[in-house]
Amino acid sequence: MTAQIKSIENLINEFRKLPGIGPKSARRIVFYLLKQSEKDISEFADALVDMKLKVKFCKNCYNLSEEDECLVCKDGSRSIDIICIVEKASDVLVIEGAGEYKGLYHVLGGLLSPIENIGPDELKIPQLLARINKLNTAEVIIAVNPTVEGDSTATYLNKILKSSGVKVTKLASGLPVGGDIEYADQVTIGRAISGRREM
Amino acid sequence: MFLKHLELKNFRNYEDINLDLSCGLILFLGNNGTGKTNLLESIFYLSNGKSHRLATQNDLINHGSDYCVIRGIIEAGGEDKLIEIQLNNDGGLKIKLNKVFVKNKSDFTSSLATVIFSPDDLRIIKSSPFYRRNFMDDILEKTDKNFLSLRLKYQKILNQRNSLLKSISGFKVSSSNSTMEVWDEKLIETGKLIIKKRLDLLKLIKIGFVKYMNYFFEKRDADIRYIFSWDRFESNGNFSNENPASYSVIDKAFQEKLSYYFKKDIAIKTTTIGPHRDDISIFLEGSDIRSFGSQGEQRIAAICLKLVELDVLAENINEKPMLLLDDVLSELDLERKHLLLKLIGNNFQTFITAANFDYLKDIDLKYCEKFLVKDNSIIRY
Repeated sequence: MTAQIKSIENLINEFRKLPGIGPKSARRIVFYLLKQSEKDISEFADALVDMKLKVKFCKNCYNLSEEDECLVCKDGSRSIDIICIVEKASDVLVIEGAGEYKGLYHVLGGLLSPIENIGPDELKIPQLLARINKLNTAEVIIAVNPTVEGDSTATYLNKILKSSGVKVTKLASGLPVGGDIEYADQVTIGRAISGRREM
Repeated sequence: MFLKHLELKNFRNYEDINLDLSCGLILFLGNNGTGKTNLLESIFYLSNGKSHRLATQNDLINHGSDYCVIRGIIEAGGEDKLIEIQLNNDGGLKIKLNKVFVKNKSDFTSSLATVIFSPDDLRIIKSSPFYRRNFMDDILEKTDKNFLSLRLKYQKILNQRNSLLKSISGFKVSSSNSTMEVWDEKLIETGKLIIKKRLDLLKLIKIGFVKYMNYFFEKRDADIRYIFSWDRFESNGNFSNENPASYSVIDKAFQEKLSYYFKKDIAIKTTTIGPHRDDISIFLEGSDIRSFGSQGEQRIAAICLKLVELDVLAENINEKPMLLLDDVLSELDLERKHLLLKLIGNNFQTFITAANFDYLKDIDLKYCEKFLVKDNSIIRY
């Protein structure tokens, strides 16, 4: 039994800490890795350490970056008078993937949630306000999930930004592209109807 | 609608039950503790997707079993509906409607209705406001597709606001206080929808309730009023007769009271204003039945509320619900027993449980079927 081999058990336990990995998947990965050459394994391990050492947060927008400024902030072609506010860095990747947006980002690092002890100071909200002041931003787009916490965060941001004269917009919510009205849930349909647009 | 067939596996005290039923009056006779109420609970579950006793899933599974199955055929709207529900003791739940898996309980509960009359209903009258809110909210959940998600959303916002209150110590102003306004706004936004839906429902309930109370007690002045959470602090028992019905009035009052009682909320670290603290009061001859009504009056009032529920649900599904009478007749005097049975008549498929035949013998009932409940089994006789 592998239970007696301590190094294998250790590695299985390490993998089990990862999101979406259960005991069976962890075991499968470990046995796969056992069959790999020593070179492959070192490359894998190096990649892990390398990632952790090199990646840090952008000093402006808290997006992930290998340098002080992230690629978006460094890109001179982007319009600097518009900021898109997102919850986490992975959201930036998704929005960038769409290729539609050409402005800057600001990553909050979470959403308001008193239950988890997350208030405005735990998020990058003071930094956002300073940035808006400095850049003389014309518009912010709030792009957070339409959950209770997301909606509250959006309402809060709207409240504190309104007085500064910035235009505040929120992502539209409604039917997905290629979706079918027949299969949409009631809440989505409701939102799509209340947020309809003139053609 | 009526239940044609019922099968139970490992449900409560029943290991294996298989019954064919007809549309009419069905009697379950058995000693105390033989499981008559359990039987009604399973029938209730088939159309409501939950236990009327607020039991958890594991309570319903026979001790020592991993799962239980409730299977029934209900004829509704001229069609047979085969409903199969499997509950696992790991919390798993599988529901099939006409042999097809369904994801949400509401997929079958929205078209079916069962009303249970049980001695526990007295809690609606006598016990805490929780039971009166539940009485209204359960009806709304059945008749309004959006109500359940609204209720859950409100609860989430309430939990967040309560956590924020707990994090504020003394009168220290931190930046987290600045988000209080946001949670207040969200609380009011969803809370006022809940209040409005309850007020609209209560209007319906009131008409029916007064009608039924007058049926049981001649010329007795009955009334039912919505009590706002803030009324409970302020009115000293004198509640205004007129309830505001428009969103703007509710909105304004809610907002005012929420900020007025903010210091109190901080002191006791929980939200004291909102639909989660609202109540309804029932009056008989101008006094609150909860403190001044006799046992009998309270019992009849509970039955009247259930009769109104029956009417509202029947209207909603456009069909006659099934009735479960769990030992309620034994509590009533002969006159009111007759009155209740006259009302129910032969209009519904009705299941009656009784511990003995004595209190039923002076009533002329035409039973379609009689069953004896004994030793965890059910025998036709």
